[in-house]
Amino acid sequence: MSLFTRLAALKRNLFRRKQTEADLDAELRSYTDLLTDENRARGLAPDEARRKAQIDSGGLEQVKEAVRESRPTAFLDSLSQDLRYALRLFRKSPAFTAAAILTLALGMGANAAVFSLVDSVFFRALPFADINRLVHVWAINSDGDVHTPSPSQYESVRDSQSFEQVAGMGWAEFFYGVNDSVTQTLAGQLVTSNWLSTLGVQPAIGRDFLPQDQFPGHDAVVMLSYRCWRTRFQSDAHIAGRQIVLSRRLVTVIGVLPPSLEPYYDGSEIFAPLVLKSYATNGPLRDGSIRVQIVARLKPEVSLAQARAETELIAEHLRSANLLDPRSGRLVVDDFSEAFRNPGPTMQNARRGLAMMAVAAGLVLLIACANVASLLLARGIKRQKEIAVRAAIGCSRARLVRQLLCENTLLFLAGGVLGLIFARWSEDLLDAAMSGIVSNTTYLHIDLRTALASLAICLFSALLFGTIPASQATRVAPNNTLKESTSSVTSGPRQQRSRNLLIAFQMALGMVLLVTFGLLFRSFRHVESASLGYDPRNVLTVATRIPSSRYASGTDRAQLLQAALDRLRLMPAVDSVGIADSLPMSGADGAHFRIDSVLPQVSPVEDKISFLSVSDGYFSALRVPMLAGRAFRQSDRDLAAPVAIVNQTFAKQYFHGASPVGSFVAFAGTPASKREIVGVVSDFRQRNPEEDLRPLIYFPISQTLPPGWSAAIRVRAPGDLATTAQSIPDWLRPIDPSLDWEIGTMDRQVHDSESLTLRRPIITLFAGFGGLALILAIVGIFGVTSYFVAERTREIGIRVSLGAARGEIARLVLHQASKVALAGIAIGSFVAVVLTRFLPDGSIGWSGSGIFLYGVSRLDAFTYILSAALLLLASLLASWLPARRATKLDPMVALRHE
Amino acid sequence: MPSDQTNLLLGTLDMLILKSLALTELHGLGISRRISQITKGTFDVKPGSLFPALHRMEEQGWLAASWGESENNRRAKYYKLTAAGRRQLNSETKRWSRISLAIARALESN
Repeated sequence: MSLFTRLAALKRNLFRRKQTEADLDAELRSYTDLLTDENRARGLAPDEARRKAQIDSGGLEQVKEAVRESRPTAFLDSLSQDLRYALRLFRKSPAFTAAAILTLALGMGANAAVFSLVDSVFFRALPFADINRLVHVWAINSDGDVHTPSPSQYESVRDSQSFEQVAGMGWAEFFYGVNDSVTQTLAGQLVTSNWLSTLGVQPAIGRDFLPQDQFPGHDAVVMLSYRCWRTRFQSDAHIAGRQIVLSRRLVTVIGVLPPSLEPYYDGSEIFAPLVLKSYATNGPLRDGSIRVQIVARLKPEVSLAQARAETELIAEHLRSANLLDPRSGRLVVDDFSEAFRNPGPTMQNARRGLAMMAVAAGLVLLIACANVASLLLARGIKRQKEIAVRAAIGCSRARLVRQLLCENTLLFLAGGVLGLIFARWSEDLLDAAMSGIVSNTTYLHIDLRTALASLAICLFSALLFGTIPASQATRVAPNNTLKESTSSVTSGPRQQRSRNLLIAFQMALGMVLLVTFGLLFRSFRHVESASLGYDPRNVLTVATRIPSSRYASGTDRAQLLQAALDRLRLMPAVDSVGIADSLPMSGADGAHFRIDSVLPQVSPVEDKISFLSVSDGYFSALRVPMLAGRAFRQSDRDLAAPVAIVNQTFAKQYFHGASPVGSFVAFAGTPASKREIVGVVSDFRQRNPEEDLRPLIYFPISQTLPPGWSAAIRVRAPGDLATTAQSIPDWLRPIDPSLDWEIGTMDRQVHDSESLTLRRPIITLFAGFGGLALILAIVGIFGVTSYFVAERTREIGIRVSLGAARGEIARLVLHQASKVALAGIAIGSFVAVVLTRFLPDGSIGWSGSGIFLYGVSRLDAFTYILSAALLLLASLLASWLPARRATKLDPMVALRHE
Repeated sequence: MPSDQTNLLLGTLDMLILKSLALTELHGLGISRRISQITKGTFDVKPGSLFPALHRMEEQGWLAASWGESENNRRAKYYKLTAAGRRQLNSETKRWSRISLAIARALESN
């Protein structure tokens, strides 16, 4: 059968149905007429002739049905019939339809949002063109560790023959003024103009950098990250060409990066051109020196091995020029996607948190589906008469099931679409709530992939949860049902069991959600109140970045540092001031150190240890006690006597109880940099409130003079915080009016620490999910218990008339509800015990995690009991109203109840 | 009605309909009667089987239908073979004789 004929047939059947049907009808009637004529010709009387003809023809309707079914479009025909019927039914019972669709929409919307995050973190292919041709280039230094290359190493690689494009990336911080007095620090990256084209990515809005943008004087252009554009600039459609002030400089925004690039650049919001010359002298220090990340694209004809060979030659040249360590320095060319395959601990923890959110959202969806299935079961019972009639006139069971399944699928799809619309509308809200889970490295974006995946989940749920009600509703014995003179709702024990099963299922899932929430919440509270080792109360923070153009020499920087310290100490209401290059909760740099001790029992050792620089008075400002030796003094600024302080964990780990005072530490590979340990300070947390304590080395900031530092200012009384904060800019302005100061509080630093920032969205979402589960469970139990009462109306009437007290009746109802609830809670507890094994506990390490249990065991009895009690209370609450209605039944009415 | 009502396979019904329309065009009842005639009463096709087959074959392009008048001036829908239908009849006939020959041989052999 040709395509044309098929299409013509399709057209005929779909669009000219009425005509086709009329035609068929006429044809069959003509058949009967002709048969009648035949019979009359054979000599039968007219009536007899027609009667015999009709018998011989068989039922006209059956023949028509047979013809319809034999048509190729029969399936579409009946499907469209089913759909129209379903829509009519929904219109007739708006309350049910609305309840079902809304419930599903909530579940589907949550899942769509979570899926978009999961997709961008786990599934989505990276947005780079031809990623196999992209490489990273790293340098190996004297310590044998892989490092980001230096600017001169970058320049050498840039000129190599193997790469068609070599892009460099540096780091920068920008001060962005929200209004006159408030400035915020924005993380940013400085990139060469070919950065995006090397990656093979187009800007989402506006234009890419041009080569001329890299020259000083022409570099007043920036690109924004997608997140920055959405959150700080409110998705301004006219952002391209707009001028903003960054770090006291007027720059033009030329474009916005696509959201697919977000995971790659780790939270940077501003992208500006890399002016290599000034960066090489003034750039921020990473791992102790200025660094430029190299990403390059291989020429089409060059293989990775060839590129590596050429880079070996470049490394040789660098070694002889002493731009690379002569002994062990090397250049490493690595496959680009290598970096993504082995994410660091922070990313790993974030991923685990996200996976948990996905599971939780899935549980909520299951609860919503079970709820709707319950509604559908109830509705199926109401429609028994209608279905019985249809079965009686010859509708096959399969056809009936198909019709009901069609209705149910339509409901689920409607819920899914509505859920997607909800999620799309509230993208910003959801992003604020949820993407903190992966620490701002993705932007929540409902796109086509998410929509398609959500609809697929929708259909799957529809099949899973719509089939049972459909098959149950059609399991009727038409004879019995039609003979029933009652109009009451009756259901056999099978339906009751199904309903109870669904309720128990919802209760079990609710239990899992509540227990997980409880464990995570308690962990969160414990982390919030963890002992930090220092006192953050009543402490202001003031951060600045020193422009190296005006503070090139060490003397200038030292002067600025001292001036700031002195002036801050002079402020009224200030108790003490200290300065560090990295305040608590900001982490610390790490490097390889060599420890040399005069003590015979301590052998020299080399290890990677974290370090930071602090001023005199820093420890006392934070109320951290010294345990041995002395703190830094003002006189520790002379580099002729370089000193260091270590913390207690350092002393315990490397000196095993002996005092480290008098021993030496040096950067491994530069023994000339050795410093004498003059004191031991008590441990305090440097990155996260609940981090494992680690060894730390402190240098005097007056000797290291970093280009950026923060002051910790302790005020005398809590009331002084606000007033002091306001007057700080005025106090510091005389030192240098052109400097920007970012002011905050130490409490805020703790609040914004990595760990708490990761935990907050997770417990917020779990609270939301848990609450949703409770509400759905209450609604579900209310419905099922109402049904129970309605069905037992006559029985209740009998009991009352035989003398049962009201209390007994109420107890009967409540007992029924709580029986099912308890069963569900028990199952849920068991499942919770199994699933919470995925919540890691034990040693956290140094990276923040949203899901690590802290201070609470997985089998915390309090959490389990409280969750169970909450669910039980919910079920009692839900069944209270039906129970009351049961007790108010007038036995006379009840007995007559049909 | 003949006493042994044999079950018609779908394919054979199609072939019989095509054959019955080989010479002239007929309406539904006429086709049924003709089939009964040419099979010497073996097959009595009821409307429940006939009309689905007729409509299916019409959609497949083997038959063309049009409304006309019967002998007694009744309106009836007449079917006739199309060119494609004629080709189908030829190939079906050849296929059927091949099959029946093979089966006959099989049954004869010891």
